Amino acid sequence: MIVQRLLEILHDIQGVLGSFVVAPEGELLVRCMPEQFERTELELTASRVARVLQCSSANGVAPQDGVFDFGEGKLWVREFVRGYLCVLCTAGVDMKSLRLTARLVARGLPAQL
Amino acid sequence: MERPSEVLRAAQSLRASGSWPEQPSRPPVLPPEPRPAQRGTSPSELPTSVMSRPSEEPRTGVVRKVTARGPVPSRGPVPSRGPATARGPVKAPRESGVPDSAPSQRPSGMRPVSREWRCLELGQPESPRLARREDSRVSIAQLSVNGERLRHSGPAEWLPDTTEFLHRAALLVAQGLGFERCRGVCLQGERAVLAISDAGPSTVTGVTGPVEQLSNVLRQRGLK
Repeated sequence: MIVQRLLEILHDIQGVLGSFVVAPEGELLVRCMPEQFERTELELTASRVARVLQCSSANGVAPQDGVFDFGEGKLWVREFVRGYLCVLCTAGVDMKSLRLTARLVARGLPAQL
Repeated sequence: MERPSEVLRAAQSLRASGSWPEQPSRPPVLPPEPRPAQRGTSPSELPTSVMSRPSEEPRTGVVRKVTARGPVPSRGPVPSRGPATARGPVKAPRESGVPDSAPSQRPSGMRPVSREWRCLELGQPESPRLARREDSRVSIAQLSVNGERLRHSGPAEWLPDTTEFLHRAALLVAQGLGFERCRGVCLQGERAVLAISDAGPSTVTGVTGPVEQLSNVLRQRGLK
């Protein structure tokens, strides 16, 4: 419940659509996404996000922050102790507010999810 | 401008007075005498010795015809002056190995004048822009959408393969979240950055390098 409340804080930022947490191995740990995103589809996406980040780490660029630009939307990724916090947002989101808030949320996430 | 007969007369007087250098035991190798171009002969039909005489101005390259009045830079031996003929001074073979500054090999009263073609920019210090490019640790890879490698520069040999993989994986991530395509991915590490983006409809570009040198990329992506 604490994790869900933390993720809901992100929705206070205008343009944020949803968020989820991915383990370093690609497992979907927590999600706070709109209903239209099915769990199975999101699990697959989470594992792909983890593969992208692992590939980068294997080549010497261990990502702390990352962004996927989809044109009409963005997926912002922040590394934390237990994995990666992913935030889905629209293209016009205020990246500065998102960056600061997501870092606070990632820091507040408990070690055991 | 001296006429050939005057040059011949001056050379004979120098030889008679003993100030002319001794005739070498081996006669100098004369360049092949250019045959006069026949009427109606096109330039392509001329012999190469005519086309590439050292006194002709090259058509390409950054070279200038210089007149060195001091010691000639180390650009190889400069031909010493040989006996004058009616056609002008004959150049000695390049294998003579006599430096231009050696006064004993030169007739008295003649200035050490070199009229060689040489690149003036050889001795110039390297421009700071080029030096900075040498020090750059940024790698760039350009691929086609099909994965064909178009360009690659920089020390990161893994970048083309990684760019191809990340581009495909990012497309799947985009489609899984309800979008058509992924225009770019930017990942920031503690010291390095990896960015992949679409460069046109059929080209993908991957860039990696230190954070300091790719701060513009981070700023564009909203990571800074």
